[in-house]
Amino acid sequence: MSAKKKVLLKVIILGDSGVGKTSLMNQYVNKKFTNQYKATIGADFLTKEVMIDDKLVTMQIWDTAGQERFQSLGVAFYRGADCCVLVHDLTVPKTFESLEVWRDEFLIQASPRDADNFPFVVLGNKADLESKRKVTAARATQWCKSKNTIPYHETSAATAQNVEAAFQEIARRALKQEHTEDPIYLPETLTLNANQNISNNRPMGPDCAC
Amino acid sequence: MEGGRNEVVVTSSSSIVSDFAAFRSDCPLKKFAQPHSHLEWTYFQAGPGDATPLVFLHGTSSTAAAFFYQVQSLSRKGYYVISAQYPAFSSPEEWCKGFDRFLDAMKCRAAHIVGAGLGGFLAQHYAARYPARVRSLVLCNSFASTYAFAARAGTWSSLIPVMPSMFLRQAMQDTLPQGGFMEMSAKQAIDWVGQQMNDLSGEDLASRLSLNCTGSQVPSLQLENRQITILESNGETMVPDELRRQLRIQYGGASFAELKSRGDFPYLSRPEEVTLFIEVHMRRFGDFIGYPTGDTPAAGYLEELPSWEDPLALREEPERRQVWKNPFEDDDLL
Repeated sequence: MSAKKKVLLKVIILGDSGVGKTSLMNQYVNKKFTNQYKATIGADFLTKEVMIDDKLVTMQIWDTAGQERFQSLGVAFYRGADCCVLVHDLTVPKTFESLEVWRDEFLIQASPRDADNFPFVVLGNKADLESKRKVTAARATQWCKSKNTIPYHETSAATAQNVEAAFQEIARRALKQEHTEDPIYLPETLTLNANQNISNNRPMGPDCAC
Repeated sequence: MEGGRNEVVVTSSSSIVSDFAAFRSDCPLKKFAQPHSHLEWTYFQAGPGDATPLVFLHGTSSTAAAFFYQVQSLSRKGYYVISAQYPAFSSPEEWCKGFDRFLDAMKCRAAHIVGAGLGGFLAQHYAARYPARVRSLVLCNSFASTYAFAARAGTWSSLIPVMPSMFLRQAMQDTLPQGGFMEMSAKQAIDWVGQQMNDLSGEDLASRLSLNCTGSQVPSLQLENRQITILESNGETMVPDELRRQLRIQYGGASFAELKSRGDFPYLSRPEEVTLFIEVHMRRFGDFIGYPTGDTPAAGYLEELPSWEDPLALREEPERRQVWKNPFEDDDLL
């Protein structure tokens, strides 16, 4: 593989509606937060370049509508994901209980090569609302442990608490996954006609784009 | 290098060939002859004709067939899709007039345009001159200026009109990437584009090469940057880095969609990914279809569909969320 290929990490954020998926992404990428809720339509993505251990990588973060049917964008949406972020609202137990379903659905749709070791990260969001907390850190950690030790972070998109650190971990795990996923490359073509040297040979004419 | 091609050991029995054959069996290639000229557009057309179409424009070396995967999948999702193949024009200005006639003939007032390479360049020219007719742009491995190509071509470009078509075809074949490591699907796409090229007339080849190699810069667009998606393959493409960078700078707030894979023709080598990005792009403009009946949100809501930077996004939208049905929906939150 040539060194010119950029590392692009595809990260998918899943979770029930209203847990703050879009807010987390916006806080991380644009450093913005709004209290007003607006349902995400379908899915959208944002990109951010980050340094991970002295390596510049591009994160393409996909946010989905918690309310949308999974299949509407098809498997292409899930395919090629390097990390899946599961988000729940730690003030709403039901959103935590859904994580299992989201995780299973992701594994079915994305069908990663090594499902057992596919990197997930769980975020318990709205950590700033400590007084309303319904899901204890211990409960969340225990669930994560039972799923092949998924890392767990408590974040607040509203105050930006822990958001940067959580996404650093997401990027690091995604990068590790990305390395295991190199597709098959064809080698330089073999030229049997000795008079012609095909590789990188552009004998005449302009380099035109097509 | 056609001879060389045949002697290359690694050729691929491509699935593109059979997929295209299946596509052709239910989608005929149509023609539109421009009045008072010898110019003839060819195109594939699919989906409901009453919607604002998504018009695909190919690059220097391709044909209307280049986007057959997208025509197929997007029309199945309910979009009105046209993949147009332009005849030989002498300049971007002439091309724009011709394309305007073509849209008239298709009976569409406006269009979303997806342009690859030269097609994207021409689409920008059109958007600058006929702003009312362009709803949005997706630029796939494209550029906003041809000066870098012109500089590389040098005096060569002035000879294009007098060159025999055999020579032009060879020149065009030679511009396709031939060496280096690439994924099997990318290689198949290049091979297929190379074969399709044989259907092009000498006049077409000359026109495209000179459009590509004559220095020209897209005038500034009236489109907001959020109406533009820049779609790029990973790694090197036939478009020089400086032009890619320039395009990104020119449309700073545009959505920048990077593909994980390499290859100049991602719409052939990674069709699902390209379709996904186009679909996401279209949803930003309220043209999103493909929901099971009953789930289709109210049209008025969709017109207000925000992009991330859009201040409108901060507006409250009460009670309309109910439209969606999700088995995992948490009613308490609605």
